[in-house]
Amino acid sequence: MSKIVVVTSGKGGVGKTTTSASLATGLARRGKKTAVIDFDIGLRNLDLILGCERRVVYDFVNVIQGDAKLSQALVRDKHTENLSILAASQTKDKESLKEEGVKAVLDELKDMGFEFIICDSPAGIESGALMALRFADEALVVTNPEVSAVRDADRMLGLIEAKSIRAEQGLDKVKEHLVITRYAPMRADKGEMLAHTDVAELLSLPILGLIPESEQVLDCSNQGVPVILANGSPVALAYDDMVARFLGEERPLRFIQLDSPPLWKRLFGGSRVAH
Amino acid sequence: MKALRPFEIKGSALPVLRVVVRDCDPESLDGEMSSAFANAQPLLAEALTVLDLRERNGDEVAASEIIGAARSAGVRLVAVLVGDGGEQIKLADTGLPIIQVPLVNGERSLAAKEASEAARAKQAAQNPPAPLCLTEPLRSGRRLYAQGRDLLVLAPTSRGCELIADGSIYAFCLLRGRVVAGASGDKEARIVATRLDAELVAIAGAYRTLEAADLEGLGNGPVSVTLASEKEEGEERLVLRAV
Repeated sequence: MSKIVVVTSGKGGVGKTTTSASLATGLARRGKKTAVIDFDIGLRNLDLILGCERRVVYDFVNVIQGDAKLSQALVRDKHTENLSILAASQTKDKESLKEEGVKAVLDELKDMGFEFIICDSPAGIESGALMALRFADEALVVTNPEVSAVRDADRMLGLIEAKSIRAEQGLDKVKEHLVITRYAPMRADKGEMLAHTDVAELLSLPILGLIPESEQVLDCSNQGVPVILANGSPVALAYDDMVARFLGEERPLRFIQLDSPPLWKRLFGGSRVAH
Repeated sequence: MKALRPFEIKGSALPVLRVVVRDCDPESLDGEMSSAFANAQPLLAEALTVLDLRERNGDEVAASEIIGAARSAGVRLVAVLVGDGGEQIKLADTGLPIIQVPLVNGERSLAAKEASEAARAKQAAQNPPAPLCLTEPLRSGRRLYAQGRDLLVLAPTSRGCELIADGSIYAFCLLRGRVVAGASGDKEARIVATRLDAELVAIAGAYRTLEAADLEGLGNGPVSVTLASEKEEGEERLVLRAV
C-alpha cells in the first residue's frame, strides 16, 4: 500500500526541501521504496539538495504533458538505494500542474510499487502548494520556532483540512505531523524564540521532528548531500529520530535542553552559556 | 388520397381552470365563493373548471357541499382533483369524474408554503436546534458558522480563524481567533470560554478587539462576554467578566 506524504509549510525558507530530502533518504535507507517529487515548478531545488542536478533530463511537467515517460524522468539517487527523484521543471510555471496530470503520475508511481511518495511543496498557498497537498494521505508541516512561520503553518493545516481530496470526499482525515526546524534551545530558553512546547500547543499537533539549528545544513546543501547522511551530527540524529517516529517508533525528543548529550556539548560547547 | 377516418383518438391538453380549495368555514363558504367568482366574471362562466381538493388539511366541510356551493355560484365544474383514495369514496355520488393526482412537493401554492414555513419556524422556536460542535482544531484562515444555533467549541482554535454563531458560543478549550456571537442580531447571545485569548469578540454587531492587557486583568480562568447597554447614553458595549 503506497502512502502519499506532503511536506509543506506555507512560509518559505523554513526547511521543507531539506526535510523532504532527509525524510525520503531516511525511509529509503530503511528499505522502503521511496519517490520524492519536487512540486516547486520554476524554482527547482530538490535535485540540488540531493546532488543529482546534472542527471535531470526530463522533469515532472514533461511527464504530465506527455513529452517523456515517467520511467525516463525518474532519477535514481546515487547515495541511497530505493530512492528515486522526480525533479521540477525550471522553465515552466506552476499552472502547468493540472490535477488530472498530477493524479496520473501519482497513480503510476503507486503501480510501480513505491511505498512512499513524498511531495515537496513550494512555499505559499497558490496552485503549486495546493496540488502538492491535494492527494496526500499524511502531511509533514514544517515550521520554525517563530510566530509568523507558526501562523503560516496553521493556515496550511487549515488548507489541508479543507482542500485535500480526503477532506473533500469525507474520507479519514489527512494525518498531520509537526516538524520544527532551526531550533536553538538556548535562545528558546532566553525567550528569544518560541519553545517547542509552545509551537506544539499553538498548532495542537504532536512533534514528529525537532531539528536543531546547525551550520551543517547549509554545508550539506552545498555539497548536494541530504543532511540526514551527515554521520553523527545532531541534525542527522534528529532527522533519523523523525523518520523512526514517522514509521511508528517511539523516541524521546532530543536537543531540547541546554544540558545536552556529550556530542552536542562537543560540537557547540564553546558557545554555550551554562544553565 | 386517403379518406379521413370517422374517428380518431388523440391526446390533448386543454386549458382548464383550477379552483383550489383550502380549509374553509361552512358558514362563509357560499358567500366567499360567489364573491370570488363574481370578481372573476366573465372568464369563469365560460371556462371549464376542475375543483382541486388536494390542499385541504381538514374536512370540516363535506366535499359534496363544496361542489354544491361551486355549482350554485355558476362554476362549470367538469371534474374533481383529489390527492389520495380516501376522498374518492366520499365523492362517488356527486356525479363528477374524479381525477387522482398526488400533490408533488413544491407544487403547493405560495400561500400554503408560507403557512407551513411559519408553522415550522414556530416549531423551531419551541425546540431550538442542537448546538454545532467543533471537535477538531480550527485553523487560521478557516471559518465556522453555526447558523441559527449555538456553537460548542471542544477543540482549540487558532489565531486568524473565525467562529460565528447566531446563538451563543461556549468554549471548553483555549479560544483564539475572531469570535462573533448573535450574528443575526440576538443581543442576549454571549460568549463563554474556559480560556479566552481571542483577537476580537462581537455580539449582535457590537465588537471589541482584545489586547493582551485587556485579558490580563481577567486572570487565566473562565471568562464571559455579554452585551450591556449603558443606561445614560443608550450605548451598547461588550462587558468581559471573569466567571
